[in-house]
Amino acid sequence: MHDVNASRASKTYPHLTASAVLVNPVGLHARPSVKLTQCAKGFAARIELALAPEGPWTDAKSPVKVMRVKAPQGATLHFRVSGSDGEAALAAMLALVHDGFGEA
Amino acid sequence: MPEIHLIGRAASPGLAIGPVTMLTAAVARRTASEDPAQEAAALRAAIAGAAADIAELIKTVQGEVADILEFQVAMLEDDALADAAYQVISAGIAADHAWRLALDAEIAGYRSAEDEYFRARAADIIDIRDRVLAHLSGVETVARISGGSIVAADEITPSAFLAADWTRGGAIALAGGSPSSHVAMLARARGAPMVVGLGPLSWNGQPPALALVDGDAGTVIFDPEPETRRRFELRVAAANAALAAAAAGSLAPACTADGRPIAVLLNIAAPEDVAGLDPAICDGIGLVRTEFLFEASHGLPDEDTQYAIYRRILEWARGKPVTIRTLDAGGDKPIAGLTVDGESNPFLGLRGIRLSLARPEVFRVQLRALARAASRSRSAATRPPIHA
Repeated sequence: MHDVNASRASKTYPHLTASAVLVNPVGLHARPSVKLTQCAKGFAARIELALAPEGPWTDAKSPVKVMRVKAPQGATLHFRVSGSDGEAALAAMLALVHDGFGEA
Repeated sequence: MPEIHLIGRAASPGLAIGPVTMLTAAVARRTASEDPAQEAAALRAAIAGAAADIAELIKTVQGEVADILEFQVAMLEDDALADAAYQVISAGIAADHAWRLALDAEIAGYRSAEDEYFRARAADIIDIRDRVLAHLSGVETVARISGGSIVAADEITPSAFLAADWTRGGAIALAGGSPSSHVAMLARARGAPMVVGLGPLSWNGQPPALALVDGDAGTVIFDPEPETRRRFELRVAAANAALAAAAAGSLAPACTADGRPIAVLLNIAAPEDVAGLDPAICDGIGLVRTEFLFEASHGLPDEDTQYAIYRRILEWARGKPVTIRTLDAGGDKPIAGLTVDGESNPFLGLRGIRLSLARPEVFRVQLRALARAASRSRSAATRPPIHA
């Protein structure tokens, strides 16, 4: 059901993409993953992340899937967002990464 | 039986001696129903129960430990963790078996990670797996560790660590494990020595009764000879005496052998650095860095925000001298909206005092906040960062 809504949203709203470098010491580990997914869940938009601009894309609202990405420090995190609050969602994701998830 | 020397990696410092407790995985038996719908419901209830347990445990802890447990709750609440389990349940597999299959695949994924930090997360997933299995079978599978004992195991989960009493000594000796694991973080915080990566713990016949753990060198000796034990006990006594002497001496004035006094000044980067410290251990603060106030997420702080923080530090110092350095931005410490991007030699570029003078509107606010804070203290000084 979720997927039906998400694909409808992606038809209505364009994909927004942006990237940021992971600066916090151990990459996208347990605490940052929890923070990122909690933040992502606060938006209606579909939010995905990847280690390369062409994907594969991972649901940024799932801590299990985000941890499977095992993004190390120094990796470039690409975001792909679509939805009514897509711009705000993308800005919030980038701010979290730039800020080192508050643990720099 | 001859003593067994094992060499591993130090994960938490300190020396410990004690009886050995072998941790072995408790195997719980459960009678499965034949109905996939019932099995799926049982798994759902067990996952919810496990998450509720951990949420309850979070209330009793803080800081790092709470973060570790919140991670486990977030994983349990994510349907993606159990997706594979529900799939095989619908194909007729029992809930406990399905859950174990799914989580073991997840654990294998972490174990194969290149990055040590991610490999170390395997212990967290094992913890999650076992807690849900315990709920499925209705028995307690979190191993109980008696206080003061040396825990020998392949790995140890955060739950097992947290269930033990570490105030009475004790240590951890692991065949596997990692200094980056959550348990290693917990062990360092609780002062429990820990050695990891000892390799297979196999005994011919009886498991060992006693162990000596050296969390500084990363070595463990099982069933030591009396002479080995005696020498280790001497080292433990010497280490304890050194700790006691350091604690007693921390309040005494520092001076050289010929009696010349030496000022001991702290160097801090944020007010939290002195939280929990007695100002009597030092002669003041030699350097307070103020860059933390200007981190990107907070923007440029206003005068009152800065004043409140400077006051807090001065109040902590109780009249001892405090030197606060004005903002040292630029070079390796760029600050958005303030420093200049793309300088050819940023380390000698527009930074430190030069930047402050070039951007007086920021500098002035900091100086005003410092002057206000210092006017209520006998002993505050300010110095600018000069890079030449």
